[in-house]
Amino acid sequence: MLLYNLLGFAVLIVVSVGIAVAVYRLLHNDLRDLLAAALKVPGGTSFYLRALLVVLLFSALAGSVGKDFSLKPESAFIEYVWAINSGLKDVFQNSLLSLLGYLALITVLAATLKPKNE
Amino acid sequence: MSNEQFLILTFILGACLALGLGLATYAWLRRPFLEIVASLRSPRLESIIRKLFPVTKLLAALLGFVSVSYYGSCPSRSYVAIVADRRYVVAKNQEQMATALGYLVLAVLLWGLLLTVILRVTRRPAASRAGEP
Repeated sequence: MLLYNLLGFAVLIVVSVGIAVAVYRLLHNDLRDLLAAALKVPGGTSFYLRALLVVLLFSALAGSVGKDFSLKPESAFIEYVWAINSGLKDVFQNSLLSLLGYLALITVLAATLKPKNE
Repeated sequence: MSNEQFLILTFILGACLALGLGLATYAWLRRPFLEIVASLRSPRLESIIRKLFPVTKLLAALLGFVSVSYYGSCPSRSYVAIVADRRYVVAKNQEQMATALGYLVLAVLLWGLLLTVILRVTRRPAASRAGEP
């Protein structure tokens, strides 16, 4: 059924966006304080926070949008769940790699820019 | 709508969407980026960076879009086989969007790293001056 395929795809998109927003909110306050202490440049904190949101959102969406959701009409309900699972694998994989990349970036930033007496 | 028209339409829409993603990323990061760049004390470097930022965002999105081949690989499909299969065309469109998003993520991370290096380099003389007697 085309409708069920679309519904499964929509669920996958919503879940992946939800994961990205949840991780962003989890990190937001501590990261803002760290950036404010390290950067001391107008717009610096805002730029790196916005960059984190873009990185998380786009990498999660890249995992979910790339999923080919075309099950046959006679497919069972659990097959749609498996298809969502399969899409989530790519979402988690992309999110993890992007987070590691961002973590490396923030580590370099904090190590090089943070004043030594703080 | 014939399959060939569908292929052309989705290709053009995909390209527009990829460009739109690049522009949206630029618009979202533009204001804080310009604030950082304005704090640099080198007008020429500031001008170069200011111009390169949107260009790299658009190029990253388009690079992701065009890097997906409709012919596939092992075994490659013929044009007739591609046009005949709408599901394959949609899957390729999805792959194009996913790749464009991936390249945009990479571009954002690289710009973050580049700004860190620039801030470090431009801050160093001030820090060393402060340490001088």
